[in-house]
Amino acid sequence: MSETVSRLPEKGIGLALEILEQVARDDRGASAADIARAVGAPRATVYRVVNSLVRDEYLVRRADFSGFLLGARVLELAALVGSVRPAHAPVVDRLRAETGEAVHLFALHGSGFTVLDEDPASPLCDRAAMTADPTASAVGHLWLITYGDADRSDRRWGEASSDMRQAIAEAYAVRGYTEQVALLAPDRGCLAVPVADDTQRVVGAVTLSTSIARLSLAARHVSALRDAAASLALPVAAGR
Amino acid sequence: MSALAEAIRKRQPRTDLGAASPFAGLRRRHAGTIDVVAQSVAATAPAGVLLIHPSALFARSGHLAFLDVVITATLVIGIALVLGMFARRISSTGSIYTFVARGLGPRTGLVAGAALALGSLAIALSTLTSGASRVTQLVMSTPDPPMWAVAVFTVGFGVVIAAVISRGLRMSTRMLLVIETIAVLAVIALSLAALAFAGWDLQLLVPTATTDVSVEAIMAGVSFALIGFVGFESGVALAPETRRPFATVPRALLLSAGAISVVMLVGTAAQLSLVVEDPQGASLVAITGFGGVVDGIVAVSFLACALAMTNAASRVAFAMSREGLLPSVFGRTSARGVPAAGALVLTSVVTLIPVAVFALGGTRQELRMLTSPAALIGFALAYALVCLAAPVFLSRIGELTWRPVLLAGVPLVALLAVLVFFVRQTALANPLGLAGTVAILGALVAAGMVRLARHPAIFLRVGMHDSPIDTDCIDAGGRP
Repeated sequence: MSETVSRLPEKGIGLALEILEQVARDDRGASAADIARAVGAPRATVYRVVNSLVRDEYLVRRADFSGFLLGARVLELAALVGSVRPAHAPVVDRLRAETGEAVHLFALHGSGFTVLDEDPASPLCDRAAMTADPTASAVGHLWLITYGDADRSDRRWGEASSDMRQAIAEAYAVRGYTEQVALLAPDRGCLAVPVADDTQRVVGAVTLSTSIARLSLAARHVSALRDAAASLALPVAAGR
Repeated sequence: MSALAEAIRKRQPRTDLGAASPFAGLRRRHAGTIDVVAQSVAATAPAGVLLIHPSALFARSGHLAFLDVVITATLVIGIALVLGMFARRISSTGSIYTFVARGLGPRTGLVAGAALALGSLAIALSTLTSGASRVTQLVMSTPDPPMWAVAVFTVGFGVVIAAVISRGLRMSTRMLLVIETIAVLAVIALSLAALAFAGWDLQLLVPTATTDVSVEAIMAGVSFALIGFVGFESGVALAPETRRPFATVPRALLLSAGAISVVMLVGTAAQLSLVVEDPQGASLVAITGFGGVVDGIVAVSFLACALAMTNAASRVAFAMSREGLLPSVFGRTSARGVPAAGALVLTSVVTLIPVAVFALGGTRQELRMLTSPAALIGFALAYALVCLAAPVFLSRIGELTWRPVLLAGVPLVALLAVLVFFVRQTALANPLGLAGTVAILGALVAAGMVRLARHPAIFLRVGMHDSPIDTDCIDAGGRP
C-alpha cells in the first residue's frame, strides 16, 4: 500500500483495505465474524467497516447472507493498489530473487501482526492458524518476545505460557532470529528476522519459508535477510 | 501482489450469480434520497394529521397530550433505527415483510406482510374517503353532501392515484413531496399566525397537578398518536429503485422519522395551545376563520397519503408476487418499470370497497369502525415483529453485538404494550371493528399459510431481495 494509505489508523482505511483483501482471498462465504477473526480487529469495529464497504458497494453481500463478494466498485481502487509501489517492494522483491524462497514481510504492533507483503508465488500456508496461536509461527515467536508480556485488551494473539516464552526468548538470544518447523504445515519451516526501529524496538519481521529438507541450509540467507531488515525499518514503521 | 490487487488486475467478471435480478423489470437504481423521504413523509400525512389529531388527542388525554406525542416520536425514532439495521443489509420492495421473513422465517414473515398490507390499505382507504368527502363538501359547499357525490369523487381520485403511480416512481414521489411540503408549511404558518394572535402558553403542554398521569392514560394517548406516524417507514419499499440503496434508505429513514417528529412536535404544541384556549371550537378554524382552507389542506394531505400508501403496498405485493405467494399480476412491470397492474388492482380495492359500502347505505363513520383498529393493529404488529426479527437476523448472519439487542428490545416492549392495551380497549369500545380486523388478518395469513404448505418452492423463495448479479461483482478467485 502507498505510504499515505498505510499511515492512516488501523480503524480507518487501513482496516477497510485489510477486510477487502480478506474477501479477495476467500469469497466463498466468510461471515463478518470470520473476517473479524482473520484480520484480528475488534468485532464491532469490523462490522461497522464492513457495512460501510457494503454501503459504498465495494463489498456485496451474497444472496443468502452467508458472506461477501468483491463489488465491481473495487475496480476504482486500481490506482491505489496497482500503480503505487510501496517503498519496501523493491527490497523484498530482490530478496525473493536472490534466495529463490518464499519471503514475506510483516509489521508487528501491540495488537498483533499485519501482512505488508505476501509472496505471490508462495502464499502463507495457514493464516488462520497463525492468527489463532502465536507459538505456531516464527513471526509469532518474535511478537511474543517483543509484545507478549504486555497486558493489553486489544491483543490479537492469545497467551503463551511463561515457560514457552522463556524458551523462545533463549533460543532467539542464541540465533538472533526465530524459527518454526512443521507447526503450520507438515513439510514446511520458516525463519523470521526482526526489523527494528532506531530505538531498537522490533516493529516488523522479514520471514523466509522453505521445505523442511532445505531449512537448515536456509541459514545461509540470514545475513541477506538482516541487511534487508536494516533498510526496511522506515517503510515498516509507516505500514504499522 | 495481494489477492485484492490480483483480483483488480484480472477484472474477471463473475458468471455464477445470474445476469438478472429477481426484481428484473422494475426500474432499478434511479431514485434518490429525496424520493424515499417524499414517499415516507406523504404516507404519514403530517399536515392532515396536525389539523385533526391534536384536538382529538386533547379530548382523550387532556394535559398529557403533548407528552404522548413526545413519547410516540421517541418510539418512532427507535423503530426507524431498527429498520435501519435491515435497510443497511437488505434491499427489497417487500420492506418489513421481507425483513421479518429473513429474520424469523417465511411464516412469521407472512404474518408481518399481512399486517403491513392490512394497515397500509386501511389507511389508504380511510384517507381516500376522508379526502374525497372533504373535497365534495368544499365543491358543493354543504357540510353534509349526498353519498353518491362522495362516491363519485372517491372514484375520481382513485383513477388519479392509479394514473400517477403508473407514470413511474419519481413522478409519484416528486408530486407527493410538493403537495405535502406546501400543506405542512401552510399548517405551520396558520398555527403560528393563530398563536401570535392568541399568545403562546406553554403551561398548557405539561401535566398539571390534577392531571391523571397513569400508565393507562399514557398508553391510550400513545396508541392514538402512533396512528399519526405510521407509514414513516414506507420509503423502505423503494430500496431497489434507489441509486445506492444501502446508503440512501437508512439515511432517508432517519431523515423522514426526524423531520416528521419535529413537524409533529412543533405543530402539536401550536395546535394544543389553541385547542386549550377554546376546547369547544375547531381551534384553528375558529380563530382564523379559514374553515375552507383548513379542510382543503387536510383533503390534499390525505389524498397524497392514500397515493403514498397504495404506492408502498404495490411494492410489497410486487415482492410477494415474484416469490409466487400472490398472483402474477402484482409482479408485472410496465414499460416504465413500475408494478402498474398491481397498483391498479390495489387502487380498485381501496376505491371500490367504500363505494360499495356507501351504495349499501353505510357511512364513513361505519367504515372507520373497521379501518381505525385495522390500521393501528396492522402497523403496530408489523413494527413489533420487525423489532423482534432484527437481533435474530443479525445473529443468523454473524453480526450480532449487544447494541442492536438493546436498540430493538426497547421499542419491542413498548409496541407490545401498546398492542395489548389497544386490543383490550377496542374489545370494549368497538368489538365489531376488532373482530373484523382479526378476521381479515386471520384470513390473509391462513390463505398464505395454505399456499406455503402446498408449494415448498414458494416457501424457499420467501424473503426475496435485490440480490447481486454478475455485473455487480468481480471474481476474486477465492482461494481458501
